Amino acid sequence: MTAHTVRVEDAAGVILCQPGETIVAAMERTAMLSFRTGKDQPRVAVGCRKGGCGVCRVQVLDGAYRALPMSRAHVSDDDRRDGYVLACCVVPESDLAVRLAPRLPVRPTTSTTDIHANR
Amino acid sequence: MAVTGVLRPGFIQLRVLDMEAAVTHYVDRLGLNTVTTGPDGRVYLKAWDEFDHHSVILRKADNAGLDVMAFKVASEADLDTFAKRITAWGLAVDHVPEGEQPGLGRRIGCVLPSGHRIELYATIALSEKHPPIKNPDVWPEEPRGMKATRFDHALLYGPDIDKNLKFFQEALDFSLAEKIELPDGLLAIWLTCSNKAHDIAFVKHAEPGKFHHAAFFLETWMDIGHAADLMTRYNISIDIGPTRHGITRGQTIYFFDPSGNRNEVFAGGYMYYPDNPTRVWDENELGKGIFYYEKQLNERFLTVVT
Ligand code: FES
Ligand SMILES: [Fe+2]
Repeated sequence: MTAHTVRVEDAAGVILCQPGETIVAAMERTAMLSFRTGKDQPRVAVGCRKGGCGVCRVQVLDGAYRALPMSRAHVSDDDRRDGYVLACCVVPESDLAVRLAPRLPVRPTTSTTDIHANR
Repeated sequence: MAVTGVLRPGFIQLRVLDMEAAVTHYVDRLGLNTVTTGPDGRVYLKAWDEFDHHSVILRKADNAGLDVMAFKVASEADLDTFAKRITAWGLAVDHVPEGEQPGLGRRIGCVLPSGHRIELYATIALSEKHPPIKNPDVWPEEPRGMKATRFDHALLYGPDIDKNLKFFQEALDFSLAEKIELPDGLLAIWLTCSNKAHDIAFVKHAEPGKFHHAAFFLETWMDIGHAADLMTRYNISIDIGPTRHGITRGQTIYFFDPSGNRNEVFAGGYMYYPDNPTRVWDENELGKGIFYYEKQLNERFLTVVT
């Protein structure tokens, strides 16, 4: 397994993900380093880091990856087919190119009517 | 005034994406005890210092967030009275029969103007592993992980919080302990039904029904430090802290469960009595109100919810 680079559309530099590391985890871990070296590093917004809040949403334009569990409130099945994912839940398996696609601030909320449903 | 009517937060039901990861987080790290798993897969938990059957319910779902927060009331008669008062106030009341959750009696429920579901109940079984009652030791088994003593409060995000405020004051006899008042209106309210500085709080937010955090009480500032050590050791996603709130004066860490639901460990906080004035924060000192040492909000506080 090797490290993979992540390029973000319209941003200079790359995020270098170690094997098994998510885009957000790599970005946060190396932020200090890029500050010291003065090298540009793309930024993705970070919220919960756990696939729940949707602020780190991106669209993968090119490359292979593995996805961890993420909220369907932010990435529907259709979204998935179009390459939308949450960057905190993406483990690259090749070099990746992505575009920022943060969730709109207001979207229909989850219904409170099915809370007793047996799932 | 003695604490009557609505006594305290009773339980919270959260949606989680990965049950195994959630149980590791809430049981091994936060220190809650497992009570039981229901036939529908919901997992029931409680803190070591709580007498009642359960206080946290985890439900596996494909998205994160809050299903319901429930409050315990003093008696079955109170439950009937509150059903009438809620209806008279103008919200639709529904009924959940006894046994929908193990150990729990009948509940009444309603959806708040902010889009959140709350429920009330009077009857719940004494837990098997309750705190000792006769010649009580300080704990039955030594607390684990962050040593959370109880589910303490929740902060919820949604619209129409002025209506929520009136509802909690007029229909449920809560008091407004603290508020943030901006030139264009209320931004946030901290409501109490007890001697705690808050039992539930709301922040104004465009999208209804959103969840900001569920807070768990720790005994001391030292326990907050120990919790912080555990968070780094086990690579738990931290939002901010350890720090302190100006509002409620609690010592705190915000962090996230494995599904992105925000948790808080909370110690201290002042005692509230119903004759206390409402403490007020304005736009000039708002940062200090939320995070007393940083003196400013991190952006995540206002934008990241599930
Ligand atoms: S940071 Fe919350 S979903 Fe990625
Ligand atoms: Fe809190």
